[in-house]
Amino acid sequence: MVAPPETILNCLCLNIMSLITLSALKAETDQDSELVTKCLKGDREAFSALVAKYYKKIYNLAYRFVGDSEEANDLAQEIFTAAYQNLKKFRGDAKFSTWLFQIATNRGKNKFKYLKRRGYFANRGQTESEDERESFQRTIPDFSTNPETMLASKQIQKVVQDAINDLDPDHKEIVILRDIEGFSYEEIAEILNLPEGTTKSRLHRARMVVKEKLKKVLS
Amino acid sequence: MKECERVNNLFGELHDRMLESETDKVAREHLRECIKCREEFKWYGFTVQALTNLEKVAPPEDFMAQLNSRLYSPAPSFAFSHFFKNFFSSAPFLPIPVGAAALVFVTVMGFVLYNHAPTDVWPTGSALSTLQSSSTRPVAGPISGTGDLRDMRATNMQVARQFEAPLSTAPVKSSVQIPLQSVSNPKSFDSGLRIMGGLLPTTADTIGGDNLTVESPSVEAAVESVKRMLPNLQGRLVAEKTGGAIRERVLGVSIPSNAYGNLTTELINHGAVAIAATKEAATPAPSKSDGNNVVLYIHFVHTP
Repeated sequence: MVAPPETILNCLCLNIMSLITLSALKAETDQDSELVTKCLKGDREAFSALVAKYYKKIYNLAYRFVGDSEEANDLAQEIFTAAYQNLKKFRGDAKFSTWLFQIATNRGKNKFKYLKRRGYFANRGQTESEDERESFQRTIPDFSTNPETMLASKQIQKVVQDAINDLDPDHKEIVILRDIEGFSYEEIAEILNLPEGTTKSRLHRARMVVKEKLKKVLS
Repeated sequence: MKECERVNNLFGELHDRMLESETDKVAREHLRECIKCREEFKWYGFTVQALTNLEKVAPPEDFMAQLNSRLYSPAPSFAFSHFFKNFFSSAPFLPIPVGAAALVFVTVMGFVLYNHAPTDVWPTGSALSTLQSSSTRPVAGPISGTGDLRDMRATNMQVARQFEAPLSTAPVKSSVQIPLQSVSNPKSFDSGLRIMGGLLPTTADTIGGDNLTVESPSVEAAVESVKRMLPNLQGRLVAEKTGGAIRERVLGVSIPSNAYGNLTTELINHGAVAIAATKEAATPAPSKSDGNNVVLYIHFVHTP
């Protein structure tokens, strides 16, 4: 039995796409490995190139962990400093980006715990006055008629960030990696050294918590 | 209800379209039928959308510059705080062996200095034995001392035993059995002195003053008298301390061991009168006249 020409064409297209994606990934990995090798030989420019490649993502991740620009800046600097100092320990078993985000999530979790212990988030919550909350309630646009505006609004951004701040560290890191940084489940499982099933269930629980908070505020 | 719960648990995979086709079909069928679950799924989708749509926060413009200065800035200048912070670490400038060697050196120096410290202020073992072996331990009278003295005994039982053992076995040659009543003496002090045996002090920071206790209504005059007689006895003042109570003094004197009798005699001459002892009897015969110095502490206590 001969397959129809469309099916063969589809298969070919899929294969080509997969090859292109794989080669792009491989090229990226090779490029990082090369830069790491240069770094280990003392090439500062190579490390700067790695920083330039990842610092926006790392800063964004740091910001989502601590919810404040200054603290996020400190945290991101700390992450890159740790990466630079521990570069010798990078064995190349995983991708450099995976290793870097492992450092980032560990440091982010520790920083978050540290700030929480010091009542940092509680104090921030208390500074918001009742008036501000009321005005916030008044300015919420109608979700049913204008969802795009709604999601883009500063208020919603703040509600979501507050909800993230309230998550416990184990759930928080998964939400950040998956929904904010856009990593795949496989990558998250590798970064956090967790089984994929655990990653999925934790993500689901975290999303449900955030959902309840959003519902409470927006309903 | 169980079906709703099951579908709720599949929201994540349903939203990400990661369910197997059969399960996906069943779940979507349930959502079509159940308004509550449909509403919940709508909120779930909105939540995921809100999370993914969170705006990307831009790092400060000088982020790279800050990081470079943090990574490659020259080592900070030497600071004491930094030095001590890294004292025992395997840090750059003071490894653990150096720290350990320094500690050993300081300990050895401490022992050396301790062993070569002057001994005439705080009696060492040899000074104690000199004092003990000589009959200059005349002041072994019943301790009618104060509470302080009893406290001293309690806290220094070992020292007390050292003294009490020979005292109980060997007869005290000295007649300075001086549980004496104060009697006025026109010559020197307005009233007499009472000299009692006690314990040697044991700590450096507290001159116990329990070797000899002199009770006098005029402490200052008694002290001056003792000071005046010291040169004649070839002795010297080694310590002087004002006690806790008003008009209470402690003198530490270093005298030749064979001069102890003269000291007590002089004291008696200056006003101490023993009830049960004559002047001659009050003069102790030194057990050793080798001229070794002994250190005595005389505690002057005011009595009305």
